[in-house]
Amino acid sequence: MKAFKFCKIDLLRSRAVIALTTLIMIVFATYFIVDEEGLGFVAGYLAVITVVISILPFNLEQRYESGFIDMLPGTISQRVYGRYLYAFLIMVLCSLLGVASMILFTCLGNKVEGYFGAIYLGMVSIVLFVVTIEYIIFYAVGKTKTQKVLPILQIMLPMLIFLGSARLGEYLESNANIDITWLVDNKYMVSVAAFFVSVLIFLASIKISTQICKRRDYA
Amino acid sequence: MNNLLEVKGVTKTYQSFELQNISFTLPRGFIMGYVGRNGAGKTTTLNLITRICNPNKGSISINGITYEKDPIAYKEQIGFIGDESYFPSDFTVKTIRIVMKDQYQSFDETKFNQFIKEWNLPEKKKIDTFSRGMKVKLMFACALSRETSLLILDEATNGLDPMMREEILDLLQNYIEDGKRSILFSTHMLSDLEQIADYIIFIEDGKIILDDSKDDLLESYIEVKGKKEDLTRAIEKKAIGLTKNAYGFEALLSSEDAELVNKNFVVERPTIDKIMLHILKNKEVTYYESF
Repeated sequence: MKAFKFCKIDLLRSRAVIALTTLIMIVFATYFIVDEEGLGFVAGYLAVITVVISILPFNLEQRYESGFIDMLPGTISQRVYGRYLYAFLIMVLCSLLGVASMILFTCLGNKVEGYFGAIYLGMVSIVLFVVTIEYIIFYAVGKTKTQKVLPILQIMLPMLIFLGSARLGEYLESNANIDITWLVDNKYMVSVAAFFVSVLIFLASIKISTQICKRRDYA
Repeated sequence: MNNLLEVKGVTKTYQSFELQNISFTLPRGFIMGYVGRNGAGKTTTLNLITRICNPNKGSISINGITYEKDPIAYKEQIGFIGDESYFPSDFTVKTIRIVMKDQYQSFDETKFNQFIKEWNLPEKKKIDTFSRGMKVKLMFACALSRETSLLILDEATNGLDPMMREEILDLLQNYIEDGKRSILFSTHMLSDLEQIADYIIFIEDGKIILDDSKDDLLESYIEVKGKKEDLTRAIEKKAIGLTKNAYGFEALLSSEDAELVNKNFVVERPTIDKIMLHILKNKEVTYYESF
């Protein structure tokens, strides 16, 4: 219950950005969705804004706020759970926006390709993984250094992971020794497995972040 | 149990600074001034008590409750006023109210609204547009609108106009009136402490060099002024602090050395300000620890 209260603080702080990005998303989706390729653009936009909004509380918090935020009656675990709960809610919200776009896309008479579900789930897994890694890094560097590493991380990490995934795909395709037909044939199973692995890493990172914070000042 | 706050052997080590084995107690119903120069360890001590930072050694309890035993009950008891506004700058009074209501069981919304109305704090303006005085008032509104037993002030009156300072000093007196609550007040405005403090702690280089009641402290010293030619070797030797200029001298002596004073001297009760200045300039710490 306390974790929800801490999550609410993060939501209160980010509400303006959430409202703005959702509005942009609606405009963006309506513009692109009429196009056949549009759904891919919308999914890409959603992936980027999920990462950006998820790490927003780290971006906004300042060390001087410790006298208020860190003084609120709650344990370190509750505070960390609250932050992760915030990330989870943002991911759910963005996933729902993605699903809504897909529904809108089909309502406009377009056909969603069968493989799109697997790609979408794969993207959710990558986003979850990126957010998890960023959260651990932010907790590890602490509030005072977060502002310094944030601009680098905000751009570099998602870029590395998305580019890395693309390069891996190209490599697998061009390398004749590796048989990717199994992956293609079992794309749904692979994407579901990737999703569950990402969820497990996400859950494990909550524990890691809590342990980091317990030892840290201005946590 | 008469002590509200008990700090025992608390140590905190940083790369370039160490708070060494700090121990003191604050009884219920009193105000304690925590003074020292910049970088002496005042804010570090307060951060350890509020548990914004973790001590390396030692224990801190409020009403017998330690943070380790019950972190929520421990923090519920503390009201904290910082030297700068600690509210997220994009928050408004309205947002603060939502957070306070959510987080603190003892938050009294009616009382909070009264403070906001009385101090004319705008509801919908962002806090970063508030003046220093308004920010301080909002911090007080938050701390005083719930049931706390220890109010911690970190340079809270710095930079405020005399009217506002007076108003705050009145608030502090009212806070301890029931005899159940106490205040730990770190400040450079020693005149404020002169007015309201019951106990004084001096901290220097991470160590407590003086811990006494204000009255005993003021009675323990005399300030002697005289012409340059009247300054005796005995006074020079015994002086805790000595300032000479072209016209005369000014010395701080222990009250026990009052016999060294002759009729040519002007003897006054020193202010806390003067005592602190002399002690810090002189650095004869061991001498003070003995009284």
